[in-house]
Amino acid sequence: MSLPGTRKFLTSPKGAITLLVIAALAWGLTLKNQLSPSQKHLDAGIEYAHKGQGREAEQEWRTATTLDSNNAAAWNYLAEYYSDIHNWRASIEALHQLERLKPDTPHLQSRLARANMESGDEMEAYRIAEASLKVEPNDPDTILLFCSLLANTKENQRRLDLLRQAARLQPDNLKTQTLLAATLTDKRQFDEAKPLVEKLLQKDPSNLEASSLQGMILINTDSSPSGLKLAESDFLKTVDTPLYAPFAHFNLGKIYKRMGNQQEAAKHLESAAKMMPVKREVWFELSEVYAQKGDRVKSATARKQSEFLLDQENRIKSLEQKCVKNPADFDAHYELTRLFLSRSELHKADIHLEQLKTIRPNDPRTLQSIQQFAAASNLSKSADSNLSKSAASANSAFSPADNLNAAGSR
Amino acid sequence: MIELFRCFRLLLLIFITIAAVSSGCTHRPASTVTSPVPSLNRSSALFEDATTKAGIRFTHTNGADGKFRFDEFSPAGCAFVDYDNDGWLDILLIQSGSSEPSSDVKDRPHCALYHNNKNGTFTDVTAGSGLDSDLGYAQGAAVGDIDNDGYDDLLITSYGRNHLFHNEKGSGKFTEVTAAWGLDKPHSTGYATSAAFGDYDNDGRLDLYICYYAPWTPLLDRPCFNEAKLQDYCTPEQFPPDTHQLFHNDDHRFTDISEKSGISNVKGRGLAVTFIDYDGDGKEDIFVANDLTPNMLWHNNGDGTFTEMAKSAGCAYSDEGASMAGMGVAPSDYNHSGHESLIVTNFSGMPNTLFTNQGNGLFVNNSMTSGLAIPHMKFLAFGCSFIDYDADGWADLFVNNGSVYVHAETRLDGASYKERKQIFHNAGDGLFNEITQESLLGDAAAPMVGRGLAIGDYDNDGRLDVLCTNQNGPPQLFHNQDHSKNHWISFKTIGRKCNRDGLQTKFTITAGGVTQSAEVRSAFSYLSSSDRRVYFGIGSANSIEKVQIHWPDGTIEKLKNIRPDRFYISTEGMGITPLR
Repeated sequence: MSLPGTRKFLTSPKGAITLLVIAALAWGLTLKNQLSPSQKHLDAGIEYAHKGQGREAEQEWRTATTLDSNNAAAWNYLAEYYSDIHNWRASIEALHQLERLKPDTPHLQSRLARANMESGDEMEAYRIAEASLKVEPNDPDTILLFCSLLANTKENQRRLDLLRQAARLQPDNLKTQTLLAATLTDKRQFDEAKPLVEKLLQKDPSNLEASSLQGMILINTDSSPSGLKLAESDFLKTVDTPLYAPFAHFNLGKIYKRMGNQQEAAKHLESAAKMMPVKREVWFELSEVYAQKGDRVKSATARKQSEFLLDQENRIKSLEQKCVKNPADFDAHYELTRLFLSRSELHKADIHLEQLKTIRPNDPRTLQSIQQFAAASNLSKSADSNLSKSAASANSAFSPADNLNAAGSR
Repeated sequence: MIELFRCFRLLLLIFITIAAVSSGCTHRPASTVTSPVPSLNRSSALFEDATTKAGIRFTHTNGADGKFRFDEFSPAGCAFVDYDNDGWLDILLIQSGSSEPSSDVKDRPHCALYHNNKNGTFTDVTAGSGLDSDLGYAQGAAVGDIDNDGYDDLLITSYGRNHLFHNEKGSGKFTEVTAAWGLDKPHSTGYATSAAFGDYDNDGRLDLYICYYAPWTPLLDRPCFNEAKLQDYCTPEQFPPDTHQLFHNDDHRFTDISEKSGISNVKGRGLAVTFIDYDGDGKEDIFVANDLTPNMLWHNNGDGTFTEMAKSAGCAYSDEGASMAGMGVAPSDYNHSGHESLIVTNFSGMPNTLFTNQGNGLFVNNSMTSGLAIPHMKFLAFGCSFIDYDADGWADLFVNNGSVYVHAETRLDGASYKERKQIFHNAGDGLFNEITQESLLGDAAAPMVGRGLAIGDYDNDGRLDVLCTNQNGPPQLFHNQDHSKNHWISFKTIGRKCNRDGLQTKFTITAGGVTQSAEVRSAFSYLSSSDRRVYFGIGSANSIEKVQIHWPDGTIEKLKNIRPDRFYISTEGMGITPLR
């Protein structure tokens, strides 16, 4: 088309319309490429997060949602941030906003379930997780989350079946395989656990979790001297690793006790007792070893400690039952908070503290508990990180829920 | 980015629930003789249910009518008792009937007494025996010659009031002497369970221990529901434990010495009791299996008082240091150590516990190492007895199982209300192997709500038989089908200075170079009383080199080169006499 022709076209009504369309498209493209204020804050938040500046990131995302309450991505990041800092209530709120805006967000329900679980509302968590599992029956994360909720129920078989399913879905996932092996060992299904553990060790002979589990299986199924020797070597592999040391000392104590080497047994059990002062079974074993050594006074002292812890576990169990019956039972939550603080089980104390805050936020006992919890948290943080990790692991390995089963409950 | 904040608490998951379970020192017997599981060389069942063939027509009822009264879980027991001293074991079966308050119950079914016809069959002789009366909601039986007249008398424990029957010279008549003997005073709310006769002060007269479960009354019942919201029996924690009773036999009168002796000092939900001289000091101690309260080991101080020693002796708790749901108890020198150890049966999900007696006043928990713990886990065990069923010289174990929860399957994976029996073969090296082949289990594989268990050789064929009771069902008389050529020997004691039954007499025999020991007793297991004749299988040995009889007063008789495969009467201070 020649220039005069062009001019003619542009001045014609058809050309004018075309120009308007092009202009509109260009304007639209510009608008599209230009960030909204909300989006800018969202990105700024991400930048901060990359730098590890969580608080600043939160501010940016908060601003993003203030500017645009429909900014799903900002709610998503906020939810993740709050769960990272264990502000579960805020995380739940953000997730609900996300649910409003993008209900089909992958893993949304399992995240909601987890946040509810962590906030202490296990009933709601259970409900959401179970529903989520119906939508995503083969999602390993959802399965594992639901399993952790089932751990506090009596649905043992369902939990185990789901763990098996997760293990089938993730045959190469070391964590899932190890979790299944640990659960089977705990349930004393040693025949099924054994090949699983052997496979884990074949893949990685330095897998300390698997070594621990193999030791456990051995001391429960092979009482021969050679069996005890093998179990001993498994636990000796892990005894110098802070994470596994308490458990290893405990089991080495039991092995040496069986071997008749009470001196060595006492040494290991004493170490275990220092690392896991609220682990009743350690004190019980210790009392027996002292008795075998003929030290009646020490035996009686250790036995008393074991019985004290047993009473405490029974008290916890009875209070927890009270809380299930009446979730607003302030006195029961208060006593549980105190008991868990005294046992340095901060996570569990936190759950009941949250309830205290909800039921009677201004009650002097709530305020006192908040202070005590903060002090205990600081103490825990300032402790040697390795040691505290190992203690936390050890306490979780022998969580009160397990102890309560052992305490003679039906 | 999301992953940036994602926090996996892997380690918490990894070690979620590893609750350690182990046991104490592995006891290896001195003998190197071991006993393989007999599965390879036989195809027929170890025991045959001979109940119908024997003419026993009895059905227990616990009165369950959907109201789930708490005491319905516990009954009932049984006894092997040779009431007429004809050398053949008769059978007593305990009946409970309606669990309504006794005053509201009419036409309660009776306990049953069956006389042994000496040909493998029995005749019901209950009518006119004196046992054909309303004995209330009966639980268990204890057998002992309370007046040393040579005839075994009967105690029947029952909710509210126990019943003591004097045996009228083996005539088949029993006279109730509860009040005359001072047992009519109610204790607590009267929830008596197992009882045992034993002579704790060696004065020649049988004393009496009675277990009590809880100060429960029907008025305290309230509906209990399981996780699946189905109504079921309440758990025992709903009711506190109770004190037990110890009576001293003051010659035709029992005197309650529970307080004076110290027995009242400790409470427990008592379900099973046995007399045992665990420390070999010649004074009979008492072991009590308690439900969700620590077991009791009453150490006999020798001055009429007892001290509870279970905790310091290592037999109070499970291997995790927690109270067991102790249901039944049986003693045995299962490892030929010369000391009697104890098996305590347990709830499902909790191991049956083998407390191995070390002979120094201490027990070691060998549940796991013996192989008895794991196979039990899905069962709820009550009655139990060591029984050398194949006469190989190693005491095996027979366990009667049955849940207390109608909806047991909702509480524990693999559990059920009706359960089969379990038989464990003692390999002789400290290990027990469960016999699981259906062909070997035979009728023992039938699921029942098992409770009581007694052992005895009812047909005098030299092999021990088993009598099991089942709630709301017929008993099972298991005839031992062992046809091995293993040899055996059995002794019935007659005391002259000591109690007439010779209870607590300890036999030690050596045959084929193997030494084993056993004490004369009838009370153990659960709510039941067994043949008090001491039995030893001796395998292929065709002679017993040595027999040592240690009477309760310390007198020891030593005999040599005794012929096996016979029943002997051992009369205190007068040696032994073969019966046939």
